[in-house]
Amino acid sequence: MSNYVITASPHIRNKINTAFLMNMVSISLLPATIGGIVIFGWTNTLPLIALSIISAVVSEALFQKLLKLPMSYLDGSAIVTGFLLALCCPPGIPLWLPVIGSFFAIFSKQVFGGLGHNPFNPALIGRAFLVLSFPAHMTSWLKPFDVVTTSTPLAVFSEKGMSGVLGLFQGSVSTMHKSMFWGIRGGCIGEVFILGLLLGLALLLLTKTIQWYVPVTYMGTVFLVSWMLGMDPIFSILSGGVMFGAFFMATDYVTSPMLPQSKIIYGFGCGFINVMIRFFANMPEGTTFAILLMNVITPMLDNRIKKPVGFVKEKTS
Amino acid sequence: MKTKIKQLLTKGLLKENPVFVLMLGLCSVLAVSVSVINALGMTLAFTFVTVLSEVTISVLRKWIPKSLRIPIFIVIIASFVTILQFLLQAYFPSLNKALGIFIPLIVVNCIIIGRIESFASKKPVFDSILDGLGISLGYGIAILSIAIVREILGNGTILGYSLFGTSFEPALMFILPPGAFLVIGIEIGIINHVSKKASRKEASK
Repeated sequence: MSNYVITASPHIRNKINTAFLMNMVSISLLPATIGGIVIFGWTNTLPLIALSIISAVVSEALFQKLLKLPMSYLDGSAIVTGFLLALCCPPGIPLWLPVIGSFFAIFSKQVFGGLGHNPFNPALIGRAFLVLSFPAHMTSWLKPFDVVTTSTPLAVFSEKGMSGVLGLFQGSVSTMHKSMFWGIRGGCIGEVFILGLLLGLALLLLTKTIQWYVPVTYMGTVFLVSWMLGMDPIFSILSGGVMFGAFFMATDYVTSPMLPQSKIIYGFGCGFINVMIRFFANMPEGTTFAILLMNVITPMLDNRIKKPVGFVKEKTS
Repeated sequence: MKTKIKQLLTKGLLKENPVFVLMLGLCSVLAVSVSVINALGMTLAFTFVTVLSEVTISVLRKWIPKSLRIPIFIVIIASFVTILQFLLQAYFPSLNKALGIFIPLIVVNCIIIGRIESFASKKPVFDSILDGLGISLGYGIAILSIAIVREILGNGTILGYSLFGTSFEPALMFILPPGAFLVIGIEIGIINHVSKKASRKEASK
């Protein structure tokens, strides 16, 4: 904000608009998606992703029609919502789940007045709704390259501790790190293929779609706090949905703060709550609720730090 | 006279609905509306306490000193709640168990204290009976409309009877606390929308 100066015309204009930014996010999601499709098989993933996106776009159109709003359901934001929601679902769940989840996600955005007014990340609300409503489906995970159900490394960790996790990977730490990096583990469709997520992050940063503050502080906090609590920090950042959340969910424009300082506080808060939920709550993973909780205080973060442009603070005598 | 009776009985429905418009006593409404049977039980309990304490206070209104009125109100409400609790424990132990702490909490329900303070302590007995019935009716309709939605969506049943067969998977969230907030928010939104439309229509006439 501090870079803006009020000047006379002519002004520089460029082609960046909502549709461009949203499509950039969708494109950056593709590497991780392809990884997920290869790992879990296309029958378990592709129909789920497609239905989720279609349901999100249709619900957006429906709500805009009903509420007599301008019809902007093809601007890419609904597609991103449906896409993100599908990627944070376990593969192979019944197909009506993403449909309901996407509908609820769009609903949660439209009741607050549509894109730009929603306090919570719609895709995460959709996921939270599914996790709370259908916990049995949302915690049944497929084994990579197989259709046998298994549990995620984090679920094993919260039950049996680190030795249980190592048992999944023939007892070797380096095998564990390697196979988790390549996504050979149980988990959501989009979160397992770490290389794809990193490629997506690089794309987002290079095209200046997002800034580095939130992903870096989020990941750094998770790394440091897990290490202080005695968990293998590399395992901690490779497991669960932390990376997916930090790169694609926590950086959502509407629900994250604007200023660099507040972005750093926000990233730290997300990471800290995330690790606290992992260690001390009765859920194995807490990315969804960590980001949703920080979304709540986003407006406060900005208002506390922002200095309004063009106003002089009145002296209080 | 007839219009006055009608007005006293129906004002709780929409214009002064204690839950949807005045938004009082939400704690018990949100917590108890998990199932229709609990909501019905709560409504009856609420009606019992409201009507009887309004009548009692209306009878005694000339002897209650202004500076001591709140403690006196509380003592009167509390005695009716105690009677109610004993009745429930004796004849409906399962309902008593399901409603739990929310029966004793009727003592501090702000809807009842509000009605007594603003109505029963100033008006004659007959009016107070009608007022108590009207407000209880509004309360009952509000809590039942929330409970019906929550039980159907969150459990797939209504009054315990299964509606959709075994293949239906209920969305558990609706019988958890977030579902209560969600449903009451949507219902308040719809009611505000409808009443705004109605008042605009009236203004343009």
